[in-house]
Amino acid sequence: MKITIEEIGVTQEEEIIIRCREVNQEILDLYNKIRRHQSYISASCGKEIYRVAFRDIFYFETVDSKSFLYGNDRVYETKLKLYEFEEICGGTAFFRASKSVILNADKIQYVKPALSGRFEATLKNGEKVVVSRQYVQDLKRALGML
Amino acid sequence: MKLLLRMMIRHFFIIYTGSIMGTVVYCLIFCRDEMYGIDYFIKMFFFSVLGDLPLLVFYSKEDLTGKQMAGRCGLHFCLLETVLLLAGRYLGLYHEFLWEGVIFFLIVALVYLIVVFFGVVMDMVTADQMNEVIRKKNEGRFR
Repeated sequence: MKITIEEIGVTQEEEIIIRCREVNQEILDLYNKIRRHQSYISASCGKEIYRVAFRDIFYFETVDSKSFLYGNDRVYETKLKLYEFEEICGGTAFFRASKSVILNADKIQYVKPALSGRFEATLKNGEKVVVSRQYVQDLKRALGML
Repeated sequence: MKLLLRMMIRHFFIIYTGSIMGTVVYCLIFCRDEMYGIDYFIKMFFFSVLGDLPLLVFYSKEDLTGKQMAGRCGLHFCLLETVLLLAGRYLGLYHEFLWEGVIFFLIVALVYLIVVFFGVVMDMVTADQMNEVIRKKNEGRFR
């Protein structure tokens, strides 16, 4: 597929146009990926409610039936359940890292092996998240290795 | 639980292969003229099943922390040695507890270490491959 990037003036609106022969699954996945990259989730931090961009989320975690979104330096609470978040971010760089964590593969700085077949992912903000053995394949898929 | 069962099936074959190889090494060193019948392989089957059971210590509904995992790995090794020493004695894989028992213990420990070593090596290779992809991804803005 040919990819063209055209720089425009500051006054013009930025736009992505996909020109294809037919709208197949690959095109739909690409469309969803771009759309979700630009979409937001409502989440609270303290008493304030924020619109958090998908691209700014490092990982999603559930702790004691509560759900949290982890940004670069902030933690937001959200009403979304783990399976709901997993559904929303299907086909993006997010993948299930453990029973309670969904991680953004785009935010990984590097990975290293941990005990018993697990991997420890160090994120771009320095945080460390464990990827369970059963989800290592999902990490590889998110990185485009499978 | 499904993952644990899958892991137990895989480990069963690793233990079975390791046990047969351990027997070969043991016989090569101590009793080269020993002959084994079909019942020995059946015994080894049950021996491997028993060796698989300590893996149940890794079952957890929650994600295990690093410390919990290290603790369970230690517990697994102790349980494995205990179960296999008892099963080995019961199945007649060794007779004299002090001398043969210690060698039996060391062979089990050696097989355990070999499995752990290969696991670590494979994980390091996988991590290197992933880091290469991550590095390229982080360098190129539009990948």
